[in-house]
Amino acid sequence: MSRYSLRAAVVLGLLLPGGLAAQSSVFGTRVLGLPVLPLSARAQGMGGGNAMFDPEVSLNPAALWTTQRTTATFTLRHFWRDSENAFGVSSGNDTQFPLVMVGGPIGPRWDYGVSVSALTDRTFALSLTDTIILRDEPVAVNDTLISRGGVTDIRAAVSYTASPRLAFGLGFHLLTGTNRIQYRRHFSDSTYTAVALRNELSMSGPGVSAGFSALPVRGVRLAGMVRWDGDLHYYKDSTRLDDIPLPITVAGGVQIQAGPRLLLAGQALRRNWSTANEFVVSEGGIGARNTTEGSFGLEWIRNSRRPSSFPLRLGLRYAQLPFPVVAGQEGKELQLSFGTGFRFTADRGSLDIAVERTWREDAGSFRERTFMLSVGVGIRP
Amino acid sequence: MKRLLLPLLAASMLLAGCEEELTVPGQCPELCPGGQPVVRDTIVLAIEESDTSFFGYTGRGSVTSLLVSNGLAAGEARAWVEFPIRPDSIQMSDSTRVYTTDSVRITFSMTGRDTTVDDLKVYLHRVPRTLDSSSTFADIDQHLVQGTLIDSIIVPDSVRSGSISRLITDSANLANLIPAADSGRLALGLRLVAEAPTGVRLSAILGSGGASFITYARVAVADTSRRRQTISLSAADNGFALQGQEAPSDPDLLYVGRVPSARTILRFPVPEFFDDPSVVLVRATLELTPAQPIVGLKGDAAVVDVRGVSKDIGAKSSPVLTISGSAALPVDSSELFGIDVLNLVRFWRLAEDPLPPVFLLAMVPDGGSFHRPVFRSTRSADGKPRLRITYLRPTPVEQP
Repeated sequence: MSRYSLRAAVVLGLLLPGGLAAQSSVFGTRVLGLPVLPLSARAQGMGGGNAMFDPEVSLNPAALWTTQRTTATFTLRHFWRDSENAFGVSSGNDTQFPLVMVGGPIGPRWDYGVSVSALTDRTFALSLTDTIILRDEPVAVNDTLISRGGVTDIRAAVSYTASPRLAFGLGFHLLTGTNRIQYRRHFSDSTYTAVALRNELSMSGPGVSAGFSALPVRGVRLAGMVRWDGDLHYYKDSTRLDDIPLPITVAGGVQIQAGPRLLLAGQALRRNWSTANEFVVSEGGIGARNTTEGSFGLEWIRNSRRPSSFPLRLGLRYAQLPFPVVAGQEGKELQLSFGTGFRFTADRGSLDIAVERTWREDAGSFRERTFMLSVGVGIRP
Repeated sequence: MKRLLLPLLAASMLLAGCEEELTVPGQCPELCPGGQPVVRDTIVLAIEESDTSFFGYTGRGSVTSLLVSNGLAAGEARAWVEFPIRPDSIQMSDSTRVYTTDSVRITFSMTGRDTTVDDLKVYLHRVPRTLDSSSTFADIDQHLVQGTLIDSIIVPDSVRSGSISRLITDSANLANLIPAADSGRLALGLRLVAEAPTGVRLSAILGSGGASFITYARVAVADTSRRRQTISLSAADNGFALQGQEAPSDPDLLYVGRVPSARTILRFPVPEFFDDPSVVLVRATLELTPAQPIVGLKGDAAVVDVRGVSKDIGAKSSPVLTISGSAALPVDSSELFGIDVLNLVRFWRLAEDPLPPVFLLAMVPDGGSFHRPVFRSTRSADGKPRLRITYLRPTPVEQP
C-alpha cells in the first residue's frame, strides 16, 4: 500500500460519519434491518449487475484483480422516501454512506482491498398514536420509536491472479455495529410525565468470503463467490444476549463485452437467512426467510477514445427482503437505476453518479417509494 | 468536466449535510419490535399504624397570617396588632420638638380573600395592651364593641391581595387613638363586616410584612420645609384567635395546618416492581380521603406540601427541602384529595442513598389559614391513605 493510499484511507475514515448506514425504511424495523448491497456509484448505475466484477465493490474479493492502481473510493447516497401504509402516509429523506474502500496492486499477481461498508441498516423512526385508559380516563399517547444504526462490514481482502484469465480472492470480515434505539412517549394529560428511554444494541461477528473471477473466452467474464458469516454476538448495553445466526451468501455473475461500446452484466445472489428464523421466532420476532436477488445492467460507452467520459449506465435489480414486517407477508424491492461518470486529472480522480428509483412493498399494505442519488468519488494517487 | 466537478461535489456535501426526516407512520404492535410498552396503574396502601399527626410546629406566637372573619363556616376569627411606643416628640437637629398630629395611616397587607363576597370592611378597635398569643377569641372579641371603634378600612371589591389602609384625619379620633394609660402604644383589634359570611387573611409580622402605623405630624419650626414630619412604626406583636377551635384530639385521624400547626407522617412499603430498573414511573399520586368536608376560605390559596425525609426519626425527621409535591386544597369538598409526588417517589429508587419511603405533610401557609383539612388514616375503616403509581414497562428493544 502506498503512502498516498494510506493517507487517502485516513482521510476517508475521518470523513466517515459515526455510522455507515442510514436508510430509513419501515422495512428495516425487524431483526437486523434492511440488507444493503455495498455498491459503488458505478455499480449502482448498472443496478448492481456488475457488482461481482467491480473492484470498488466489496462483494467478491476476486474482483480486486482488475485494480490497476491504488484507489480510494467513497460513496454517498441520499434518499427521498414516500411511505404508505394502513396507518398513514409520510415523506422523508435521509443520507447513507454505504461504502468506503481503498485498494490496489501489491505486486504483479496480488491485489488488496480494505473496505468499510454497510451490511444491514436498521434506521427508522416510527410515529405512533394511541389512546389508553389510565385511572379510568382515556388518555391519548404519542409514541416515537427511533432506531439508528446497523451492521457494518469491515473487510480486508486479497486477490491472486493465477493467470491472465483467472483470479481468486479471499476476504476476512469483521462485522460490527450499533443500533441506538430511542423511545419517547408523551401523554395528552400532562400530569403523566413524558418517557424517554435510550438503549444501545451492539453487535460483532466474524466472516470469511472467497471468490473467483475468470475470463473463459474473449469478451466474457464469469465470477462467483461464497461468504460465510459466523453468529453475530449481540449486546444490549453491556449485557450479552443470544447470538444471531447469519446466512451463507452465494453469488454468481456474468459480464459480456457485447461490442466495443456496450458492456452487459448480470448477477444473482442467494442468502439463507432462514438459518436465523428459529432464533427470531423464539425471541418473539416474526421470522426470517431466504432471499434471492438478481441484477442486470449495461454500460454504453459514448466516446470509445475516452471510455470513462460520461458513459451511460442502466440497471434493474430485484430483491427479496429477509425480515417480514408483519407475519405472513414477504417484502421485496425493485430498483431501476441510471448513472454516468467521468475521470479527471489524468484519471487520478473519478466521479460517478447514479440515480435510482425503488419500489418496495410486501403483499400487505406496506409500500415505500424511494428516489436515490448516489455519488461516488475515487482518488488514484 | 472540471466545471462540473465543483458543483457536483458541493451538491454531495449539501446532501450529506441535509436535515434528515426519518419518521414514517406506524402502529404497534405491527411495527414495533418487542410490541407496545405496557402502562400499569397500581395502588400501594400506607403501612398500617405507621401514620401519625404531630402538633406544635408553628405556635400561636409565630403565626405568619392574621385571620379575621365574619360568620365564616370555616371559623370565626378575630385579630389584634400592637405597635411600639410612638414618641411624643421629634428630635430635630439639636433640639426635641413637640408635634401635633395631622393624620395617621394604618396599613395592612392582605394576602387572601374570597373575591365573590363584596363590601368588606375591616373594623379597627382600640384594645388594651394585655392581649398576647395566649388570648382567646373571647378575650379579643369582648373589646370589639362600638365604644372602642376607631375607624374601618374599606377593602375594594376589585382587590384580591395587596395593601389596604385607612387614613384617619378626624381630630377626635386622633386625640383618643392612643389612651394615656397605654404609654404611647397603639393596640388594635380587628373584626370584619361584609355582605355575606367571609374572611380575610392579613400578613403577620412573620409573614410577608406586618401592619404599619404612620403618623403625619406638624412641628412648629421656622423652617417651613421641616414643619411636616412622619413617624413610621411597624407592628411589634400580633395574633389571632378562632372561636371554638380546640386542639384536635382524634388519634385515628390525620391533620395538617392549624395553630399550633400539625404535620403528618406517612410511611409506605416500597413496591416490588421498583427493583426492576427498566420500569419507568410516569405518575405517582398520594391520595387522601377527607374525614369531613374540607373547610376553608374560598379563593384563598392553601396547599398541602409533601416532602420526603432524609432519615425517618418520626416527628423530628428533617424534611428534604429540595424536592416536594403539593396540591391546592379545595373548599367544602369531601372528594379524594390527590397530590402528585412523582418527584419524591423517584428518590426511593436511587441505587445509592435512596430516601426512605416516608412522606411528611404540612400545610402552606403554615400557621394561619382558614383551611383545616382532616384526613382518614390507616386506622379508618375505609379511605385509608394510599399511593397510586402509574408506571411503564418498556418493551424489550432487543426483540428481533
